[in-house]
Amino acid sequence: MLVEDTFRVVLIDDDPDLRRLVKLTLEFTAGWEVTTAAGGTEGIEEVRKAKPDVAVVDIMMPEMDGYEVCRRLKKDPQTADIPVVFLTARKELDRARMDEVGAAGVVVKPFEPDQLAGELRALCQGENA
Amino acid sequence: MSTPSPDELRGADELLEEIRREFRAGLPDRLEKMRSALEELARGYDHRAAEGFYRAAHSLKGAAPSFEAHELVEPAATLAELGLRWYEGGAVGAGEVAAALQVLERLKAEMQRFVSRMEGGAAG
Repeated sequence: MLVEDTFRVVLIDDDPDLRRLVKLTLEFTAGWEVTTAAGGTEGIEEVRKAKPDVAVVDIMMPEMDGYEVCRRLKKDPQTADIPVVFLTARKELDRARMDEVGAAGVVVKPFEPDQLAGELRALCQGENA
Repeated sequence: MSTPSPDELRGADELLEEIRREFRAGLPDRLEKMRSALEELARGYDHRAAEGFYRAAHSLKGAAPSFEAHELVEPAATLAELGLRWYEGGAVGAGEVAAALQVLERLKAEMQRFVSRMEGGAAG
């Protein structure tokens, strides 16, 4: 069961301004704990360490894209059960690849700050149902 | 963690405004990154420059709407599409750098309009 008070998020996005915006939004609109990573390798390590309730991952990143991050997290028994939600522009989304790598869903940018936590929670509940 | 108090929410508003200010303050750096990559590409195709150009344009396109900078999306998307084509194709077509520089000038003008709009509004 997901408990909002203890909800923990690892956010992986290469844009520093967006990382700060999403982190602040989730911390202050929902009281969630958010840690961030600027890229896939660092993000996967952070997810392994933090065991968050959800990993929120940008798709288009240098070094390793979001699909690959998700594929690696789902392949690793330590992180396979952690829902992965993509945060991306609608045009960039490849639904077939998203399903193939086992993502729980997607939040389309630009997100509505007061709806972001609710959208993420709903996607994670769907994943865990 | 409990629901944020009114004081914490006021603090959040201030932090949010600070993040928005930093986004605006960082726009010239984003522009400069794209311009210097284009200058390098004008001297001949360079894979790292093409990638850097694409990433910078793409990142701006993705971030802009979340900071109410909707006017930046179209020129940034045009530049990102060009950059991706160069990066994936391993070449820059004749006249494409010049075309990209024109779009970059348009992006610069839109950035100035956006900053005026936001800072004019904040001052009023």
